Amino acid sequence: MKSLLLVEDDRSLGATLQDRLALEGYRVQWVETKQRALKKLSEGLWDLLILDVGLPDGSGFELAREVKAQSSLPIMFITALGTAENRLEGFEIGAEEFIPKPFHLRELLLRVRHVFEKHPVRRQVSCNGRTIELDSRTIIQPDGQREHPPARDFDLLELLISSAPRVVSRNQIIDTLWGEDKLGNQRTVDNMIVHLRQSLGDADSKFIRAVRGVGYQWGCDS
Amino acid sequence: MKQQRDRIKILLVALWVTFTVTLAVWWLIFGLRQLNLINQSNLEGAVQLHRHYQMLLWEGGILIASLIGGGLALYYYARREQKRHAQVEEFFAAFTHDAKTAMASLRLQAESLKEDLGSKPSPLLDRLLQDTLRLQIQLENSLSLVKLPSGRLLIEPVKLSNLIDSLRFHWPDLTILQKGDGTVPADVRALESVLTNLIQNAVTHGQASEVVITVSRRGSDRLKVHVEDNGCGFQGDFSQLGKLFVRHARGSGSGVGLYISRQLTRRMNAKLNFARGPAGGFVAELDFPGEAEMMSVAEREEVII
Repeated sequence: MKSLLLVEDDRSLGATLQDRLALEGYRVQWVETKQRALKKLSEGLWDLLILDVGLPDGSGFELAREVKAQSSLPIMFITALGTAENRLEGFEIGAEEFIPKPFHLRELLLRVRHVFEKHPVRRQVSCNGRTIELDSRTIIQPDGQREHPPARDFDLLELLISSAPRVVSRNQIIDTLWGEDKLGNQRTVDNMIVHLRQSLGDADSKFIRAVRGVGYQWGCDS
Repeated sequence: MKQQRDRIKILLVALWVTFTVTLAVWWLIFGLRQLNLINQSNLEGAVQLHRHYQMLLWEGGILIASLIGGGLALYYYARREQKRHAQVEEFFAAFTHDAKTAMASLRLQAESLKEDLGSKPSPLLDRLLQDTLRLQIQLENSLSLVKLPSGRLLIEPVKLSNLIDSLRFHWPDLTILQKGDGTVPADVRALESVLTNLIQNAVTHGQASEVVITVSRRGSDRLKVHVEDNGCGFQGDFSQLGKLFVRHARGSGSGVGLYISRQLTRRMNAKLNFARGPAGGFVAELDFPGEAEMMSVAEREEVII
């Protein structure tokens, strides 16, 4: 599942976009400010950054420059500022797309797909003879056997991998996996970790380390 | 760029004040010296010359004071005008941002509802979406009208098929046929605005159900974009089309769309002409200069595949 970070300060637009992109099968995190975007960017692996230019605590261009200085993450601007100067600045930063508001839903989805076609991401992690394919959500055992853990378990695994080497707290796992619904609890998280360790054949907690009083950490170095 | 222009204006005011005040001071000193010289050689008229000296001194002083006062007032009003202009621009930027964001949200929600309904017809949503488009065009045209004299264009190679494909999202029920393809030197947003206005006019005023856009080469280095609809056409005076605020009939629009289209086309070093189509529809013809790259229909199909 491809991960999108959406930075949009308009709540109505942000919520609608998040819902529609999620319906298209993307994992979407929506934040409203530049600071929160920077925090989210430091916390995980992202495949695309969809960015509004006018943010309450700074410019989307500034944020894009900071991101491009550190990574090659594709960036797509959605903005009401469509002047020649703005477009030029966006493309100079290295944006893949510059979509003026108001845009059509189908057009946006098409352009997102177009960016992914241009930047195919095949993400996989190898660890101690096992391969974890993040896109197909599969764990390939040393004997070639392919395992497909339950969706939420795999989301947790992806969260741990993308956050490594940072320790992810149980509360953060609950927030990320269940959002505002808060249906999950710490016991559920611990059970999911047990299932994941079983799927990974991780009897001695080598892959997923428990950090006492804090949470869990992806512990594979390769 | 704009800040530089503002600085130049203030500098010109300062230069004008300095020049005129210096000139007046020089004239005054020169006049007083002349009077002194005459006074030294003409002792008989000394009293009268002294009166002239006093008069010149006072009048010169008042003139210089007036010049300085006028210059300062000019500087003050120029600064105030610049600040006011900046405030208006700031307001327009904030207004545009809010209006366009709200419109994007509205359109997205309407389109989401339509998608959720699937193939079920939803005339209410269709009308709502068409109204958001009308609102968008009116807003864009109003902003273009304000920015036409000073707004910069970013001329780059624009592939017509890409632009036309993105325009299709605006009118899902309208058949837009494209024959031929090419790349023109244009500002993508300006060209989009031109084509949007032409097609919207075909739909709104011509009641057209089909628009055919034909791209062909004219001579060795020009590209012609022929936009023809199957609507009822235009019954008025063609020479009046594209003139600002000229309305041809009640409810015939604000008279801004075609004016902006023509102005934007001119700023892209292209020409826009209107005519009556052979089948009675409306025809608009864009004539682009430069190294227009042509692609045949067959090539275009290959690209799509």
